[in-house]
Amino acid sequence: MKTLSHRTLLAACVTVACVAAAPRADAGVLAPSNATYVKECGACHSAFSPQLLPAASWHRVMGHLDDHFGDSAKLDPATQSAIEGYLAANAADHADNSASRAIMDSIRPGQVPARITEVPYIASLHAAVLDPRWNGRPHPKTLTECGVCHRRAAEGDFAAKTFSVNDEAFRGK
Amino acid sequence: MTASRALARLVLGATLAATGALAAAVDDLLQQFHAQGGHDFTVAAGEKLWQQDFKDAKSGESRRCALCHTNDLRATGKHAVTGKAIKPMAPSVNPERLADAAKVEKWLERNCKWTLGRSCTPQEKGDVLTMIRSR
Repeated sequence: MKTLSHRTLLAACVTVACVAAAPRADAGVLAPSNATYVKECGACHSAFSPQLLPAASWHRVMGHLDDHFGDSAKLDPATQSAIEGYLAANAADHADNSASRAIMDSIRPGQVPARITEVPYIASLHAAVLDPRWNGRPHPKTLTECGVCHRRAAEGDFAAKTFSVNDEAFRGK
Repeated sequence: MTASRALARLVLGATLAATGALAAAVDDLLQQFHAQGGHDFTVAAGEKLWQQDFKDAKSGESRRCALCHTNDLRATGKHAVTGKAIKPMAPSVNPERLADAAKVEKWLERNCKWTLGRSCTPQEKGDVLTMIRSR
């Protein structure tokens, strides 16, 4: 399909509105600081802030490294447990920032998102880009590279003013 | 000693140290693969494995080493799923490669699983390591 459907466009507009309306009273999510985590996980994808998922999700991810979304990300047990400990101790449920609170509020009781884009709050913000009919730019194959759109993602800053996707991208040009 | 001469010595020393680490790590690994049943490792066999297509049982897609690392080991590769850049594999342009035996084993295990759908045999690991070292 060449053009985006009304529904997708609506989703894109809602996305922009949500980002613009998101409270920014605090500094954003914690930038990943654990050297082992950044080195091991950052080798293949952005080293995501631990504050983007609840501890239960990090335990789930780190407990299945043999099949990490179709790839083997196997680590030696000591490294795995060190990274799992760091992620769980700094997870969204222990965080005091507006994004982590919104993440936790959006998750149903008992729900354990398997990945960041399964968090309802984050999925809704990225609905347009996650839609298989998305043909705008940027056109990431997966949403593992936050910095492609969020220029200051590495510092944990996902605020609207540092968000570099412009209107043209959302029009699907 | 002038500053530039001191710098030259420092660079030479660091290069020698890096080369030494590479040689030691690779020799240890090859010896290990030999003890596990591999023998007569060759660049040609490693090259053949590098280019060989393997069909993924789940997705049906064709996979090979070069898909992410490219045919030219001196070039920068790209992760097939995430798109993240992968530094060149050839030690001649990236001295960090093959310098750490544990790192080599970790990535051989992971990437054989993804590409071949199984762990590589000691023979395959020895051949591909011999080929990478020659680049």
